[in-house]
Parts: sequence; structure tokens; C-alpha cells
Amino acid sequence: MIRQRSAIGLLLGPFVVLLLVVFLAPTLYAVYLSFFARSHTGLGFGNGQTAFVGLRNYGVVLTDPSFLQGVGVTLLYSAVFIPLVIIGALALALLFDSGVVRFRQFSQTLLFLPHAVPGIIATVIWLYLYTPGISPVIDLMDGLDLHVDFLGLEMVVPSLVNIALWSGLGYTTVIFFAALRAVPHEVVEAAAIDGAGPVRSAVTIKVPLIRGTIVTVLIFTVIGALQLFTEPMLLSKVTPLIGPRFTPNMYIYDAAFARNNHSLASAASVLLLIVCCLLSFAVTRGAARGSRS
Amino acid sequence: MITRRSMLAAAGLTLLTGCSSATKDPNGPLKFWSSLRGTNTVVDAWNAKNPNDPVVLETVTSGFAGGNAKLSNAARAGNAPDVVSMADSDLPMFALDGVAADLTDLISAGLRDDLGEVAWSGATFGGRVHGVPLDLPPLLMLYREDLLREVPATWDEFREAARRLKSQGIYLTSFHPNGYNLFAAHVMQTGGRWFGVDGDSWVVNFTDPQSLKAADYWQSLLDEQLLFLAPGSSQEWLAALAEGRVAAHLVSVWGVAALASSVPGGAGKWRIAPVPQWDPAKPSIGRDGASLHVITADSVKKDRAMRFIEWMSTSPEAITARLSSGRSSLFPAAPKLWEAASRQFKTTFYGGQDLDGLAAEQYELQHGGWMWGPRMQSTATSIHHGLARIPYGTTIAQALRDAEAETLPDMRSLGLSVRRS
Repeated sequence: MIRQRSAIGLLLGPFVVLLLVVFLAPTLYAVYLSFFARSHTGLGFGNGQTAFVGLRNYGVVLTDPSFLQGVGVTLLYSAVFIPLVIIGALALALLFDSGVVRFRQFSQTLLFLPHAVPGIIATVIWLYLYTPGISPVIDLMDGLDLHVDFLGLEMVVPSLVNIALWSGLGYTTVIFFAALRAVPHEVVEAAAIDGAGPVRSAVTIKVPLIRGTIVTVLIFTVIGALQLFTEPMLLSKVTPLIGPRFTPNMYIYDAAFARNNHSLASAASVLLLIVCCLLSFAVTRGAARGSRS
Repeated sequence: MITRRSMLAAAGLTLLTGCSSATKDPNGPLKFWSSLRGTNTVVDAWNAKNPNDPVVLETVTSGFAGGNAKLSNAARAGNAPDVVSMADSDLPMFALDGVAADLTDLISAGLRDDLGEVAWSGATFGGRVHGVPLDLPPLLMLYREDLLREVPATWDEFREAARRLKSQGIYLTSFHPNGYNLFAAHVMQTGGRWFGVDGDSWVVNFTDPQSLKAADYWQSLLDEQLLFLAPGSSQEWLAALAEGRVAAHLVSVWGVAALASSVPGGAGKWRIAPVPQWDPAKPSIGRDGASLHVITADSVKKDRAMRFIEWMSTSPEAITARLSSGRSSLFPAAPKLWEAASRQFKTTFYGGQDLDGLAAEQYELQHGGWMWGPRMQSTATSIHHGLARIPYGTTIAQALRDAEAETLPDMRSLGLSVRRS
């Protein structure tokens, strides 16, 4: 009994300590900072002091047009990126699984490789490909009389989605593929004997059987999309069309380090955390209900 | 997730800036951060004269390019330098955040008299002085004499001149989407005010009638495609200047030396003129950036720091040393230094023209009352973000409206009393 308990302590200990130190403590500190801010009165000169400010910072974040625009950008980005990456990765995984693809392992490695490239490096690579004058891709397209300004106003979100797809598609595909490998052979065989073609057995047998994996990946993708930061941050250094508050995460960074307002940054962080939690809960809940019916 | 990331970033920044030595020893050398051209020769001159009161200079990047963040972080970490050069637009933030000390009681009557009323107005908030002005540079028009034959005296003539040059394939001047400060100078000239004070409250309005007057004028030039639209300091713009595709550059006096080093091939072709007026009978002029010196609140050497700052702002030796570097065309805020400045600054690039006489004349046309906001770097970024969309149909007035809407929440979050006029 005692040995069992100490084993539990030993095995869970590192996780609990890390959770406390790098997640719970900073989260609680952010909540504290969002309520106790450096505050002024009147013109503000010479009277700054730390004070309880209630929900003031939350009110400011929610009425700041730049934050709301950031939310809008994130929704647009998510609406384009999430379906593309989930459906695309699922289709690729099913193709690999069905044995249609030759040199499967080689193709998989090739597809997975971009994920090994850190996001910041990936963005630098794409930045090079997006910049007129130095990009071979743009030169090539100009040769074909196709003129696209990848950093122009309408192309900013598609250009970001492209970078994210390039990095994330292979990774997601591998996860789906691993799940598909675990689908019992006899089920697929039975379907084939009953006359289901490869498409039908993919859609009605395999996909429902890996539903749990799809939901998990969906949650991670949604949270990842909400926390969009590295790619637009880097692009914002080369095009002023991407402002420093382009996404909620960039808003937080800007509030803390350009506007010296850590309390405002904390309030926005807490809001984003709440939205992420709610969304994860909704997705899991929705999926659970779906699988019961 | 987010908090973890930002905490790590904060820790990293503190580590990066936290490596300076102790500034808490009242007998140690004065630590001085500056990004102004020619400051090293000024410090050398001081150290040669005051071996017992040495100043250690660290050249830093200018405020928006990282200097502001560096100073904020250092102040938070408790190792800010004693003296910092600062653009006037950044002073309200550092005064509000308690980084720039209240200097009111340290300023001697002599220093107060040496610098003009207008200069002090940019350093005084709620009756308390937070910085010592170094220069107060009126906006000038630098132009190619071989391209622009007649200097326009009014903005109407300026438009006509732009049309004439455009028919020869030359732009009269440029519009910089990253140049909020130049546009602000135009607004100062029309008498607009983005930030003001009414009693104990901020008053904000980026689109008062005078600001809109400037916005609509420049917008109409843009709509007629009379302006070369390119970011300031960009290769694209410098190339256009060097190749004579742009005939004029509007900039404050400090830019006179900067242009000479940016387009060295134009030596002898450029001249200096006053900026056009709206009404020559009621002349007025703005500026795109003035510099000040502040003492940080935590400094334990405030008296020594003030002696050094006063010397920089009011001593002929200091201005002579600064201009002797050849890289600066700083126009002192103290009129008594103009003679020393004009003796030192060489205008061979401008055909030997008399710069300081012209600058002195324009200096008198500046007026007080302009005030910058408490988070000007953010406001400026918002304006730039809007102006970058000009090719996509955004107007200057819209950029100003959006920037104001993004500035007000920041001020409210700080607890400031703020209303729109």
C-alpha cells in the first residue's frame, strides 16, 4: 500500500511540479496582474501606483478595436486553415493507408520533414519566397504572366495559411496514419467482402473508427490557431500591413513590450486562456455527444 | 501558455539588459545613453575638460528602433543610466512611467532663460519639467536647385510646382507611410492638436479641423499621384533621391546633415528653403522631432547629471564639439548658441548656403501647445499601419481616426482621465 502510494508520488511528482511551476503559478500571477495594475489619476504624471483596478483592463481589451480586429483575423485564419489541414491530412493518411501510394515511407518522411523545421525558420524561408525581387517563385510566376503580391492586403491570410499548412500537414497526416494502422484488419476486410470499395470503406469504416484521434487533433489545431504568433510576428517586420496587434497573441506581446502595460497584457492573456478552455471543452463535449448517438 | 511565453520573454529581456555595472555609487562616472549623431565628440570634450567628473557614453539605437524598450527594461531592472537622450515624442511615456525624473527643482534660472518658452513647453507636463531641450528644429525644405527652379512660397504654389514637375516625370516630394512625425509637423503648422490638456484631463482629437486640413491637402496630392509613395529611409526612396526622380525632401534641421550622407552624389546640387506657408501673412512652422535629455528617477547623481546636461544644451563648446563630428546638423534650442553653430557647420553640400540664418528665422515661427501622447510609439505604429494601406484605398484621415481609436483604450487602461474634444 505504502509502496504503491510512493510510486504514485514518484511518477506523478515531476508532472505536478512542472504543472504548478510553469502553468498554474504564471496563470495565477497573470490573473493577479490583470486586477492589480499600475494606475494613475488625472493627467497621470507623478501619481502612478499599483492599485486594485477591478475589471478595468478586461473592459479595455474587449472594447479595443485592434484586439477585436485581431480576433476577427484569427477567426478568418481558423476558418480557412482548420478545414484544410484536417481534411487534407485525413485524405493523405487514407491514401497512405489504402496502399495506393508507392514509396510510402519515403513520401511520408518527405511530407513530415517540414515539421522538423522550427516555425521561425519556416517563416524566414517563406518570407524569402514571398518577397518580390529576390523570390525565384515570383520570378517564375512573372514569367508566366501571373502577378501575385503575396504580402499584399488580400494575400496576407492565405500566405499565413500556406506557411502553417506546409509545416503542419505532414505532422497531422502521420498522427492520422498511425491511428488508421490501429484499425482492425478484419473490420476493413469484412467491409471489402460486403462489397465496399476503397472510398466507401474509408469514409464509412475507417474515419468513424479514428474519430477520437480526429477530435484530439482538432482541439490542438484550434488552440494552435488561436495562439497564432510566430509567423505573423515575423511577417509584421517586413510588411506594415501586418500590424503589431495582428492576432490576439501579438496584441498581448505588444501590450507588454511596446506599451509597457503588463496588466493589460495579462487581462488579454486570461481572456485568451478562457476562450481556449471553453473551446476545448465544447469540442470534446460535442464529439462525445456525437459518438453516443 | 501565453503567460508562460511572455514571462520567459520578459526574463530573457531582463537578462539581456541586466548586465550593466553598478550605477548606485554616487561617486562613480555618469552613465549616459544616446542615439544622437555626434554625441561621442561631445562626451570627449566634456571628459577632457572635467577629468574628475567623467561621463561614460553608450551609443544606443534610437527610441523606436529599440532604445525605448531598452530603457524601460533597464529602469524596471534598476540599472538605468543616469542621463538619456530622448525624442520629445517619447518623453510623456517615460515621465508617466516614472522613468524620467521630475527636474523642476534642479533647473537653474539661467538655464530656464537660455532656452525659449516653446522649447520648455515640450518638456513640461502639468507644470512639472521632465526634460531639458537640446534642439528645437523647424521643418525645412531641402531641394534640388537644378530640378525645382522656383521655390513655392505657399502650399497652393507647391501643388502647382508638383504638377509641373510631374509632367516632366519628376516627383516634387515623397510621402512616407512610415513618417508619422513628418505628417505631425504639417499638423503643427496648421495648428492642429492631437493631444492636449484641459485641467486634470487629457483631451484627444486626431481629426480636429486643422489636422483634417493637412490630411486632406496631402491626400489630394496623393490622389493626383503627385507624390513618390515610399517609406522614409528605404532603398527605394534613397535611390529616387540619388537619381533625381524626387526633387525635394521635407525634414527638420537635423536632417540637413543626414541627407548629405545619404546621397553624397548630390553634393552642390541641393539647396535649403523654408517650407511653404498656408497664409504668408500669418506664417507658422512645425517640426518633425526635437531632442531632450532626461535624468532617470533612480539616479543618485542628479546634480552632476544636471550640470552635464546644462553644459550640453547651453555651452558653445558642446555644440562646436557635436558639429565637429561632421555627422550632425543639430540646431540648438538655445539661441545664444546659434553663432557658434553657424561657425562650425559646413554647408558645402548645399552650395555653401547659410543654414543657420534661415533656421533661426524659421525657429521664431514655431509655437507651443503641441503635446505628444503617453504611448506615442504605439500611436505612431497605428498611424503607420493605416498609412501603409493607402495603396488599398485607405485615406490619411481614416488612418488618423483608426490610430486615435487604438490609442484611447491604452490611455484608459492606465487610469488616465481622457476625453475627446
